Amino acid sequence: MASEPNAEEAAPAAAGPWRLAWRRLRRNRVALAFLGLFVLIVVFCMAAPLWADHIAHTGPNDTHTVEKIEAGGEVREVVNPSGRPIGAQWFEAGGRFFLGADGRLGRDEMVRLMYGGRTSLLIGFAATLITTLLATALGLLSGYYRGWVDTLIARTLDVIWAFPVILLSIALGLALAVGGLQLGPLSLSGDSIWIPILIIGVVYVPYMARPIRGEVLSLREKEFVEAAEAQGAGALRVMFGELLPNLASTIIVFFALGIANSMLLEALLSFLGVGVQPPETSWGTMAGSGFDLIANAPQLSLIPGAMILLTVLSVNVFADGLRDALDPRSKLRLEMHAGTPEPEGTAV
Amino acid sequence: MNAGTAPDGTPVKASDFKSSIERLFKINSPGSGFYSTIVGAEKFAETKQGGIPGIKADDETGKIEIELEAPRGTFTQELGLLFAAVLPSGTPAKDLTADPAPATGPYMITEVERGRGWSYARNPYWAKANSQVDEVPDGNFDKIEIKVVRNDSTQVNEIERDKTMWMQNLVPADQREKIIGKYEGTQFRVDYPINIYYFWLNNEKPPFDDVKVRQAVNYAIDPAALERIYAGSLAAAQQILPEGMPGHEELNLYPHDMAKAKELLAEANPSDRDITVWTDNESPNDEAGAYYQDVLEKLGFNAKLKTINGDNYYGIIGNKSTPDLDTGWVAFYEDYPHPNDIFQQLLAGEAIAPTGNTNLSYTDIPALNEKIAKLAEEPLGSKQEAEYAELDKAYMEEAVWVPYGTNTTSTFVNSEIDLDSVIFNPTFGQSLASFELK
Repeated sequence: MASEPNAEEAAPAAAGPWRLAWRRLRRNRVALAFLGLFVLIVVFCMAAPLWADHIAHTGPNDTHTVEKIEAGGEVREVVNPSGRPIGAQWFEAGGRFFLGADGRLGRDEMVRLMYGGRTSLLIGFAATLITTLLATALGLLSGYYRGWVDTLIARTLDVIWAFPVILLSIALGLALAVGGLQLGPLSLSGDSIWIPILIIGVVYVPYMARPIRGEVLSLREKEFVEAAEAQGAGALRVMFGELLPNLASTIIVFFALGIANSMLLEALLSFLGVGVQPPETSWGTMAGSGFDLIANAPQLSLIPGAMILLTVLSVNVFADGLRDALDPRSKLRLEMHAGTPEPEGTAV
Repeated sequence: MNAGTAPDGTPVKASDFKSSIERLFKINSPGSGFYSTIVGAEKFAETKQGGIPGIKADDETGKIEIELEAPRGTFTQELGLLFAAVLPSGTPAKDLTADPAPATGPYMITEVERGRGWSYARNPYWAKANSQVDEVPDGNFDKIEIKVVRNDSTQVNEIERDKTMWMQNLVPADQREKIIGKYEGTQFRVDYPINIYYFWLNNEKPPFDDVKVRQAVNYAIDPAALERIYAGSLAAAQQILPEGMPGHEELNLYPHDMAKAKELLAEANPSDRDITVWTDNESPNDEAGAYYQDVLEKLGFNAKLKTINGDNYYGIIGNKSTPDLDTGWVAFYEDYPHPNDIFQQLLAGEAIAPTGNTNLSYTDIPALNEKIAKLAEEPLGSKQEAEYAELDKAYMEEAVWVPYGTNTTSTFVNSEIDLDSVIFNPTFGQSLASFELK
């Protein structure tokens, strides 16, 4: 006679939402593969000082215009008298000029690629963090309070929304590149890396604040909010203690997608000369300066371009997987991804 | 004066010259300074009233008399500048880009699309009125269309495909080697304008108020590196007066020597080592700026590069209120072939101005100012040329700038144009009236 299983064996402990999400994400091999690729890119960029100090023996901005190197048993000029840079040396020169020189200044392309990646990733993360913090705060305030607070925030963000992201960013970049930014105690020179970070961080706020506000509008009608209010919870506690945890999955997905968008916008601004200022490097500035030499040395544009493509692709695919894992039933409209406002509805 | 007939059929009168010079002052033209020594010009510049009494014009005889406040050896060259081109009396004192005033050359501007281009057609009165002007070709095309193309590579591409006959811009540095190999002598030619490329050092402020620091920077710069940055179009030079300018005598006071540079800097031991390096964003000037910044870093400065859009660059660095004007890139192309053109505008103390400043190094050495002023009063001869050469040396001993070379330019035409027919003037460039089909 078979014995009855006890209650604990019959009903294993229910997994929490984060554990369920992790299980779903683990099953999505494509998303994990692209996460792996992204991690590899980050590790590659973080290793820049090691490569620069121990292999290339040069910094990202060190010029070598008239230098010669020994490679493959012969002496080669880093830049020839006609200004043509040396091509990829791989390990023939002990790792120096692994990808060649970056142009007539004879800077090591590999070193600049690694340091440029750090800049691009830093801008991607920092700008998206600014966007996320501002958008979350504004979305929460707007959706929770509604009324005049909602109207005020909506109209303010409408002003930003009225300008196309790229045009607004270029205009701000041009204006701030010369004089820098003086905003109360905040003082940034025109060549500060925080200028593109702030520009990108601010111009994307409406695109993230709007769906967050929509979520808040829906959540604030739920019973758990009523229960919290009935227990005497104040507005701040409801917003940050009750609503924010329920927005976490949405915010995480937007954050991941935002990194890709921010990196793309940084690349565009730097390509046009209004983002990262020389001699600092990013993948966008490298693609831009390499474009001048496209006829003789196409790799100078193509390699940083490929790095941008791979990074953005890996972040996007992983973010898609993350969205599916965190909320498989979600019908999130990723306006930020599309970069266009909704045709109907109230904009935040 | 026998200046011909404008395209509208109006004969040019002597009084048109007077009104044209007065118009320069009315519109605050940057060229008005060349004529400020005419008696009454300074007052007219302030009041814009009553005309310039130092110019007397008689329309009946065509005679023009110009009275100067002091002798000026360069004045005849200055009368040859485009600023002094004669316009009809009554030409509005405003920007006429969209509706150009008539002039007396072989061609007239018939159409202007602001920012996109313009067209020329023959001046119907040219042949009749200017039959005795042999120096100016009559022109071989009935119509010439100028198209503004911002991308130099696109210009090269259009010439190679015979879609455009000539490009005014330099061929891009990265394509220069290929174009020389493929087209030199048939469609491509190197021309030699008179210019000087240099890094200015603010002599007024630390750390460049110390001559040893300035000399150190001169030793640290390697002209050979800059030749490569300019893809072979630049000829290295380390002096004020470029080759081709009267008074040029080759100088090489600061052969590249990084050890010597560091030694001098150690002696000077400047307390302020934070420097902003200014350059524009046009290739390869931006790369020259980046190279310079790297050299200053290697020398022991904390150098920050500031790259400005080329359209605004001179306005920004010429404005004394712009912060951190320490040092930077600049190029100067002669207005006319006279050494005073360089010394007076770029180095004389009186040229220092709060805006539109051309003395970017804020150089103001009284003894040398006096010498510039004295030479300016004399006509240019071999004695004066020798004195200008001494002046060049004196300024370089003070290391007021870091001159690094003179740049060539190029004539690149398509397969239909006879390259040998194209006249190049070192001051004004190619003459469109000289172009001929093969």
